[in-house]
Amino acid sequence: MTPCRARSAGGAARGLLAVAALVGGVTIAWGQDRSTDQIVKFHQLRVAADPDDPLAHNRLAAAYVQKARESGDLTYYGLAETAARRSVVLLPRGSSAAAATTTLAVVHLARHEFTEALARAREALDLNPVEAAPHAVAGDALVELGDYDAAAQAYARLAGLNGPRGADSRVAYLRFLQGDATGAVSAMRRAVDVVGAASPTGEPTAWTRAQLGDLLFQAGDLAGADAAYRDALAAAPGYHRALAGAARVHGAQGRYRDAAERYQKALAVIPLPEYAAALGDVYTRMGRGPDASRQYALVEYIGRLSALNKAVYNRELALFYADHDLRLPEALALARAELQARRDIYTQDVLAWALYKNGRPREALEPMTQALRLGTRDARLLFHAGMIHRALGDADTARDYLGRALALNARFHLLHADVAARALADLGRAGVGRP
Amino acid sequence: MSARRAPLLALVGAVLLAAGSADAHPLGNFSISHYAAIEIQADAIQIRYLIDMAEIPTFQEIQERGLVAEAGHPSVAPWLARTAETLARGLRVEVGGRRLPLTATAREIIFPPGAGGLPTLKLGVVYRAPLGDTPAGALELRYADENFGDRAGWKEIVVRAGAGVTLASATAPATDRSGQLSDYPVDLINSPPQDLAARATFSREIATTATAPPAPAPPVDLQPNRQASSPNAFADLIVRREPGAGIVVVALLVAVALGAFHALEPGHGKTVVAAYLVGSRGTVRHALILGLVVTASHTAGVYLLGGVTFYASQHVVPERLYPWLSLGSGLTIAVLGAVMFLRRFAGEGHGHDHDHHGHHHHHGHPPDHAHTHDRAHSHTDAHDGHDHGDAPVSLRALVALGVSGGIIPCPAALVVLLSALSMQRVGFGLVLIVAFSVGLAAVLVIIGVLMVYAGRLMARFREDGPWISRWLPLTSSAVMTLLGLGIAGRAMVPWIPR
Repeated sequence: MTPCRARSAGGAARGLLAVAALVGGVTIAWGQDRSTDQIVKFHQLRVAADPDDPLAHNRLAAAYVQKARESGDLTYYGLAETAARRSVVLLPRGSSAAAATTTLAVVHLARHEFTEALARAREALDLNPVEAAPHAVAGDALVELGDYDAAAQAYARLAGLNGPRGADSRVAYLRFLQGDATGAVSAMRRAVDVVGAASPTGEPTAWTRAQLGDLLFQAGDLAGADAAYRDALAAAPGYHRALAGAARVHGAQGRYRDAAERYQKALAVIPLPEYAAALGDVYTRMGRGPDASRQYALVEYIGRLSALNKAVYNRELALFYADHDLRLPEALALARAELQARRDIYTQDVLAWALYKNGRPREALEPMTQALRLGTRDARLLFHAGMIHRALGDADTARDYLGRALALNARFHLLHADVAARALADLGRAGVGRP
Repeated sequence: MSARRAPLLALVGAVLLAAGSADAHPLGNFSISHYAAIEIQADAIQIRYLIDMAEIPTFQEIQERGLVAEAGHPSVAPWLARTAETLARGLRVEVGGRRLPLTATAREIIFPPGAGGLPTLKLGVVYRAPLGDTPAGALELRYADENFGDRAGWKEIVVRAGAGVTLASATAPATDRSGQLSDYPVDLINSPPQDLAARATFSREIATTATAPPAPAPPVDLQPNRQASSPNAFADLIVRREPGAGIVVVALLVAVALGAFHALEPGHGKTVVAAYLVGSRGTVRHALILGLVVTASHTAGVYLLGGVTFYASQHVVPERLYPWLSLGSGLTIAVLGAVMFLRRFAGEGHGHDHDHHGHHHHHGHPPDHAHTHDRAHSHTDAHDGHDHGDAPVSLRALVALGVSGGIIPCPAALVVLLSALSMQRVGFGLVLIVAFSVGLAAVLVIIGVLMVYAGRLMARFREDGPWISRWLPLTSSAVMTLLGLGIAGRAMVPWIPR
């Protein structure tokens, strides 16, 4: 007899059901990659059988986080939070509480509550200093908070505990931010190999491949990026990030119909505002004005709804408004508000861009300098810097930035790549006239 | 870039300002939830199909398909008719391998306000698919919902049989959990179901020639969401920090008590202990041995799982370990029970049983005293020792039973160990687990002893009756077998594909 397992009231009934199912000849699946839904179900049964088992609550919380990652459904973060909290109440000490607190940190991270995420990650480390996961969450939070040195230290500790390969995907992103695109791609390729070898399908594998695709796109390697997104879709068909990434590649290649189709698919899975904005841009390029307007309206609608729900799209919305010359004062207000939550280079960039669009290029200079402080080789940042310097009459610097943006990836953005090229051409002509 | 302002935005803004903040859709504002109540009737399959769209998909419908979210607006009825057709194409209903065409017999739509008073959309369609000349006898129904692919949401299917139809099996339950998408549960173990396909086998009475006129289409009768939960609630985490040490003796006593109470909780191996001891007419010594084995194996089990959890959780996932341990112990119990059952059924060991049994009751003690004295006297030991070789209560069986009963660690014991480990007091933790297991085993032993007495008590009244000599042992071993199968079956519940 198994003490504890038969504790729940419905235990006997479920046992009989299970026996009946077996007698019924139902085959038993015990594969390596069970679907997340099955794992969730398993741990729900464990929690139902033992409502006082903190470890079962931990596993359930982790399964919910994975489900949230896959579906983009924030409901699961709420469930993960409830399960993790219950676990901490049941056992407020030791490795169990550390794991639960780490899950809480991940939930904060997903809600863009970066300061809280960092605090929880540190709490988890106090509870269990040899646990690796809190270092990863702490590092991620520090990246968003713009404290890149501390983030690098956290990732180093993660690598120390998890083995040198354990932090590859995070180190890759940090390297990219620091302007080392080659190093970023090679670290990310290692991460892809490691994760892909561990499980050939599933969201984690698809995520690393899509992340590699993003890095390759930044570096202007459209074919490589396309292949990476295709690999990601092979690991998880319908994975919205890879669909959107592939759509971006198609857009850059001028294959607008394919791009639109893939953005539509991504939006059918999860209507993220950046996908709707990008689809609107594709329609704009195709000359389908009314369709584009509808997508732009959807972006604004999601933004409004997010504000109501205190959700997480401030920066995307500010960038969208600034990019499309819509509601510019609001774009600035959103960017400023976002800078309270996170002080990373991309938020500084959006603030600079919003200031520039509001006709305040001089004020934009300071956040733009902050955004470029790591030497990140991202065409968008360089484009913004070039436009700001052009507005300030600093033609040489503007030419330099715009030239570098286009050299990195001549098709970095559906609409802005042309803007950058035109501005550069204008500067060239103006430069000839000026001594 | 030119400014593009959809006229709708102004409207949206006005609505927002007017309504202030209200409640978000409980399943997130981009979810699309599905619900299908499939009723198998004697002459048709009827599907009550509901779709609940949260704010964002509702907005997309409004934008892209010219819907005005207002009850009674002239755009609504044609939109609903078109949508009912589109949705029907995404529903695949097959009976006996043949796809049935669906006809919408009733439609309804409501626009319950969601976050900020923005509209959400809930529509219901009743579809009917006549079974026609489908042959009588057992039929298989296959249902698949291909609408809205991977979009997040609550996806629920129920299957019921109407009058004149017998449902042999169904992969979907007969009752729903969401009150037809109007009351989504928010507790921890009711995460949104993701069911988009179902199978059922049924048989129906052949309709007589006097075909009744088709029943009028039932109204859809939609309900808005009853609860208005927001998953964003975020209070502060309470981490209790207690002083680390504490008095060792008190802690040990508490551990013993914890174990004892834990053993008293329902379904705690007591049934098996009882069934075994009663069935085998064991003695107090057997009960003690069983208790000791349970203590030892439970302690070992906790150490094992504790070690795994604490040091190797990266490599061995407890979710993989638990089912195997349970499966193993369940099968052990079942096999033991089956072997006992077969032996007794065949009559083997019956004589031994009787000898053994008789021995106890031919001491010449007055019946009232017999048992206490038996226990106290040293000759009990000698007697039991003599029994070991060929009595049904073999040491091997006892050990197997004890191990299978104790090997699955209680989470409570695991908690004690992990707490101690995390306080860097490993030795103390190990001692605490022993104390916990002793408490647990003590209760099991006491119950076992009580069962021994109870069995004897019954035996005294009907010494030679078939109840005691044959049916009780047979029943008890059968119970053991079933229990073991139940445990093994439960261990496999998560592996059963749905």
